[in-house]
Amino acid sequence: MKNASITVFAIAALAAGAAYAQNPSDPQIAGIVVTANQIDIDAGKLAKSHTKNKEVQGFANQMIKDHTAVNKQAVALAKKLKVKPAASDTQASLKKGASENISNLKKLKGKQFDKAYIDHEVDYHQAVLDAIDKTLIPSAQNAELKGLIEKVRPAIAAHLDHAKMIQSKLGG
Amino acid sequence: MPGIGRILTLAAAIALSPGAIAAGKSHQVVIEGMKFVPERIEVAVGDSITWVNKDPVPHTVTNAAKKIESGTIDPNGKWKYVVRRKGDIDYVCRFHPGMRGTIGVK
Repeated sequence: MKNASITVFAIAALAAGAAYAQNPSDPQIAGIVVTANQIDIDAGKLAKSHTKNKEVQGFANQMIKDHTAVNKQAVALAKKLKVKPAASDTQASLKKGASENISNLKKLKGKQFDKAYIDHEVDYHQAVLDAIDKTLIPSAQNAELKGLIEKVRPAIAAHLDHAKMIQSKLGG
Repeated sequence: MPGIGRILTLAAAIALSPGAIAAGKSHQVVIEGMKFVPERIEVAVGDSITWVNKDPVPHTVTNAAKKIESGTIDPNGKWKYVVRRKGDIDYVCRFHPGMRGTIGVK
């Protein structure tokens, strides 16, 4: 169950962010937001080129489209507020978890790939939602930054529902 | 008396304009929190509806059977549609399953 352990790692990374990186600064929050979006864009691009399942393909396209749109706004807001996205332990953990997920997915094909990608998307979006609720929204100081994260939350929740729907169709 | 002539012309323009311009009412549906708000909107034939996307992600207003297709409505983007026929029009966002709305046309 290598994939399962990677998934658990990714969740642990976000949860660790929630538990230990108490009150990340606004620049760190901006860094976490941009990285979290980019991770899902990269996974979506890999899935788009690997899957033959139309629903998985559609989901991957949606992830690329939505997370690209969110990042565009996050970068524009950071620029407007003169906030330079900064590194944090949470961001580093996210990157590590993401690269392990990508290298694991690259080894898989067909239905195995689809299942591993979607399973991870379910866990990832759940972990991002938890991070938004427990860390990012409570810690954000700037009202506009907090507002953007609040605006993004329903999209993440919708992605989670969509991924769960596909997960149940893929079975097992 | 050019002054009176001008006033009469203006009066005629004002009298004619409501019929000529006000072909229908304008309505608005806000796309926010991954929902169409209001989810059901009541309008009359000839009215226009403008969807305003306040979400951070792109959406569409689509009813494939009735050939209603907004194309991508980007964040902060808008799309306007003039209703031409009576009856309910159910629509979806092509990108996000679960996002649905209805136009009730009197």
